[in-house]
Amino acid sequence: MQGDIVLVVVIATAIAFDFTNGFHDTANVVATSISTRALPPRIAIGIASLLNFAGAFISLKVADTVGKGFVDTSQVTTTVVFAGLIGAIAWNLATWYFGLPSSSSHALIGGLVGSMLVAHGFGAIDGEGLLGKLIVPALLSPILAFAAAAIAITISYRILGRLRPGPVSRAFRAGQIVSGGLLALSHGTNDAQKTMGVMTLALVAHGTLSASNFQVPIWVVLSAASAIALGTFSGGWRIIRTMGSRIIKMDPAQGFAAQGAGAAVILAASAAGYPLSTTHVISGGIMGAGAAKRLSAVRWGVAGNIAIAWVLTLPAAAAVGALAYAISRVFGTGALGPLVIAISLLSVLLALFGRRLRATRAAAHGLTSTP
Amino acid sequence: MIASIVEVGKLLDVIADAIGATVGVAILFSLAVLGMTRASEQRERGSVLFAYGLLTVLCLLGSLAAVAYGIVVLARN
Repeated sequence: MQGDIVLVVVIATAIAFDFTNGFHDTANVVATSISTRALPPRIAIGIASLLNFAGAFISLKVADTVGKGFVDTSQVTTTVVFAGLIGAIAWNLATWYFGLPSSSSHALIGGLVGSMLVAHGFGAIDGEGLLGKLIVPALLSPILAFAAAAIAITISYRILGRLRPGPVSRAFRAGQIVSGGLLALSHGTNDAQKTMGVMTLALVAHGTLSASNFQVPIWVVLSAASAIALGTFSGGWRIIRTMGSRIIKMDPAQGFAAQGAGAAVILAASAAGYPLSTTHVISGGIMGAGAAKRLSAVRWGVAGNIAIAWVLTLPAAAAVGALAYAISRVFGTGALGPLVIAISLLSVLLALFGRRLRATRAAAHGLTSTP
Repeated sequence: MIASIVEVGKLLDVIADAIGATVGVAILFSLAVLGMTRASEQRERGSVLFAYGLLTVLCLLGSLAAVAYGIVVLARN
């Protein structure tokens, strides 16, 4: 009975994480289309939500890697998965609050590794898997997106050099509807699968599924797809501003190259089963498209802040995951610990949203009362 | 040691696929825009050049086909 309650709390937390993942990553997917005015914000977000949902059904290779690639599946407990999710959600909320586009994916894996370390020690972590399937691809992917976008925009400018800018911009804005859609689809494919992997891991830990037959159930796919799509629809306006205009001012051709590079890198990595950070990849694409035109077009200070958030994500989420596991164990091995932590997190969330709502209302009141 | 942990062949495939797809689609789409803009300029001057229209259609279809192929390959994996 206690185990069932913990499983329900874990599944609910995983769905909540997936929602925050979509919420947090909306910016990655739509910022470029919005900043080049290829699409109005509401339509861009609506299309991105639908394609995120569809993308979640394309492949399950990343879910497999997340579920089996980093930790010893036989030692995982539902409380470990729960604490890992808390680490990821807490880090996502902190970076959302400060408007930093960090990686939800790395937060998730960091949280899981941190709670597993406290629960079972270094022996339960697959260091080779972590290095080969997460850290190296994570380092490589933004560089790859940077290079792909830079090469693509350089060739495009060569081809289009002497043409009138008006018609060219209009055509690339239309092209951005496809490249932005593809980016949303690739985001759903890679990111929704991470939550599917964690939910399946919890089902294995609970004993509902066997470790030797790691198969993602269809209801897990459906719920992860719905949560990420709803999260995307809810949007993250603070981060959209950072991604869309503070890194670089873009023209539609650059936006097309950045989105195309981002989508190509994420889809190619998904096919290989690598859980990439869409945030890292699209930031790399945006910087590549900007730097190819003019190095000074990229606001390197903002890019530096984003890089610091990237570096901090794994250890910070791991620390919160470890702390959440330790706190949960204070209440014993039953359901009480996860329930207390879940309720506390929910209270913090409500307080944060309440504060944000009050600030927004105060700002709107200030605007309307200004003579 | 790192070489034995990292799946070098798989990573090289990802690099080749990503750069090939991005650059390929960018070239095709840019050629389509070139054809469309030139065709429109020709129309404004009162003449019509069939080659630019054909270039636009072929390159647009080519870029859409490349996108569709990428999704099908991923779904089959």
